[in-house]
Amino acid sequence: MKLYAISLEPISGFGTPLKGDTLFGHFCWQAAYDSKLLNGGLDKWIDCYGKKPCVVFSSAMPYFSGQSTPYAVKRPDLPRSYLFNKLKEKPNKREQISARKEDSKKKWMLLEKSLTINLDKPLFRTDADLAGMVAGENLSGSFRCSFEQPHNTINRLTLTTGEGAFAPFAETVHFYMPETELALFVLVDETATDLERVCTALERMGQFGYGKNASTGLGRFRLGSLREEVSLPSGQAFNACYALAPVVPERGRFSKAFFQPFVRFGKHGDELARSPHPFKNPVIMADEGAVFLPATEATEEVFLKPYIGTAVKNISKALKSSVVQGYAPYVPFHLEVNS
Amino acid sequence: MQLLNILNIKGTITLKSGLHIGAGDVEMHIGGTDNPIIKHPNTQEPYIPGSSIKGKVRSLLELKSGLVVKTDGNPLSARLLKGLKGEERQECETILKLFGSSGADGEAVAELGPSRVSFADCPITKNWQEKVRQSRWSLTEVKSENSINRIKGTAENPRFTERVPSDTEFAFSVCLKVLKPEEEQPLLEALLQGLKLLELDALGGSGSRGYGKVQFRFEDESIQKRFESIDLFSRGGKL
Repeated sequence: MKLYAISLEPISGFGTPLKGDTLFGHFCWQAAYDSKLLNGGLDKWIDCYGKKPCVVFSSAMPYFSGQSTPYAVKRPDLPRSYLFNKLKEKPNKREQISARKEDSKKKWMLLEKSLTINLDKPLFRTDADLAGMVAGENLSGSFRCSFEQPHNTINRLTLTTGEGAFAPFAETVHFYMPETELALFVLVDETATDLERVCTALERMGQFGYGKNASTGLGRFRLGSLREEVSLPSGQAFNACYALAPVVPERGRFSKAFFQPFVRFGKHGDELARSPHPFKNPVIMADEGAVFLPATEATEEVFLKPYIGTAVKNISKALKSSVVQGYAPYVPFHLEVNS
Repeated sequence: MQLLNILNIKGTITLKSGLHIGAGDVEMHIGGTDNPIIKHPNTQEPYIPGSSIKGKVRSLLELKSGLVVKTDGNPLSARLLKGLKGEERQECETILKLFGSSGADGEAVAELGPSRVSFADCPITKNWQEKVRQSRWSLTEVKSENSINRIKGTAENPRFTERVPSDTEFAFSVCLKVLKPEEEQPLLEALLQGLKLLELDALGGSGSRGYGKVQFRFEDESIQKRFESIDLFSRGGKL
């Protein structure tokens, strides 16, 4: 499989976060309507999805083109002692508490183009830092904000809003700062498809809308200039995997796992969104930013593959063959495990 | 079904009167109006949500179809198709294919396929932004209104409504998925008819009081000519 980095430019608000598993679901719908996107068609690749994923999407993350650390990924879900203690050897309790508060705001970690993670020299940043990087100046806000967009249904007899089914309601919409760029890492099986076709699918998603309320203006993006193959760090004694998308890890492969649980209450898209059973079974996943340490006996096997995780099946009453991307691209790195 | 094409119809919406698309009553700022309009949370620039256009166009097409008497004012759904025949059924199917249907009747919805149309949010055009900046105008205005006491003939209940001023230009974009070759023209025609109805009606709040008159101008000349030649009613809107 080849790993590609692709940049996106949001041009509207979003009702659904750009997470790896949702992007994969959208890609599948694109492939269902255009058989040329996957060699042999979608069904062939869904049949073997449990053994051989055709594409694996990462979640979208801020991207700063032209910078020495162009990617900002979620801070690894490791205990604080792994991340900050070495930097914050404060003499008294008051300073320690103050430093802890400052550190807890740093939710992002900058990554170099080589994707090397070095926790001895971490580059942790706050939301405001990222907003400043997007705008090119110091800002106090966040590069991503949300607001409640009001809606209503028009009564066809009176052409007004009203009560009951016609009462106003609000839905949360997330907006990125203008000129924010996002990056996706996509693992592509060359026997199934290629970069050009994945970009075609992404272009169509961005044009017609991604996620919730796509037909009413949300989820629009266009592709940016970044479309290139990237290599994962190699040649070192790695002992940990940093997940770039929500993942359902394989049983028995990992000796330690640090993660925040993420429950995907999935819903079918496209025509199945309006079927009698639009909702999928919930799936408990480890959110992006999770860190897994392979068990000693499985280390070689884990690092041979460019992804971790498993396929999730049997999640739908509307479409038995539905799958959820439980796979995630990962960045290998060395974690000094505290005793 | 196969995705054969995505028609992207782009153009400009020019306001012919003040537009008020409300931001709700969630919070009120000191010195702000009691009826604010929806704005981009970062730039604070007004925009037209795609949902406002889609909802109004759909409701007008449904009103024109005459099928609304069978739904008690609710949007058309696939359930209604069972009792319809001939032209009525065709009209209902066209609206449901374009805009989507509720999930009450799974089989009927599956036959219709996914919603074909997707309206983007409409931001203010770069040209208008520049014009406003150079002329030192404001992107919004506040209109004061009151009601007249029918006995005293004096003003009561003053209120202040925020609007986007007349002449403001918004960038408009709508995508239409073509899944069957024979569907392309009827769906495009229905969509353009809906937009024409919107021109004759109004967008946003207080339409019957002069707010929300809009004019479409399409980038593609053939679409523009087709739009101009649409005759919606047998009497051509005349007495």
